[in-house]
Amino acid sequence: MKIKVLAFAHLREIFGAGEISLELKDGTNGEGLLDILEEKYPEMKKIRRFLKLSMNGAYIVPDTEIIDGSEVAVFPPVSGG
Amino acid sequence: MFEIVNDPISVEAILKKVSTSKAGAISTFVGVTRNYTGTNKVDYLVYEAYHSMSMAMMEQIGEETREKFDIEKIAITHRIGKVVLEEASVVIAVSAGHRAAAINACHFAIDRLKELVPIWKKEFMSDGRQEWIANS
Repeated sequence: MKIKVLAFAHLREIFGAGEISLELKDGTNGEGLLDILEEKYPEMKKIRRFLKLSMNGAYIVPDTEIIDGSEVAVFPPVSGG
Repeated sequence: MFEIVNDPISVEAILKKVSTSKAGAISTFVGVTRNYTGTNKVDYLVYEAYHSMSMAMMEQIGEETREKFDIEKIAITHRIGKVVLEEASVVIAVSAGHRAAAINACHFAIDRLKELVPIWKKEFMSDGRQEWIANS
C-alpha cells in the first residue's frame, strides 16, 4: 500500500522534507512505520520516543494499523500557545 | 470561529466574534511571546502548524468546551510564522451568561490547545542559536 507521510518541526528538518511518499506492507502499524522511517533517517533515533502519530487528522497510538492511502503525520510533542 | 493566521491578531476582532446579547461576560486568553525561557534570551519565535489537523483539533476543543461549560460562543485564533516579542501568538475568547463559566471555559480551552493542537514553536535566540520547544 502507498501512504503519504508528513513531518513537522524538528522531524521535518531531520527528513529534509515536509512530505514523503512511502510504500508499506499491508498490516504495518504505527510502530512499524517508525521503524522504517528510522532506518531511512537514523538521526530520528534520538527523538523517536517522544514522537506522536496521526492518521488522516486524528491522533493514533503506535499499534494502530495504517490504512492504505492515508495521510500519516509524525511529529514531536506540540508547542502551540 | 477557529482560525490560523499569518498576520498579527486583533483581540478586538476576536471579541466581536463571540459577542452576543445573551452574554454577561467575555473571558479572553492572550498568549504572547516572552523574551526569556530559562536563561535563553529569545529574539523572536517562529510557529509552524499542521494546518488541517489543527483546524480539526480546535473544532474538537470548541465542542469539548461547550459540553463542559455553560457558554454562548468560543473563538480561537492561532498565529503562525514569525512572531516578535510581546506580540500575541494565540487568542481565545469565550462568552457566557455568567463570568465563572466564561473564565473556566477559557482556561480549559487553552490547556487543551497546548496539549492537542499540532503547532510547534522554534525559539530564535540572540546568540544565534535556534531551538524547537515542547510544551510541558
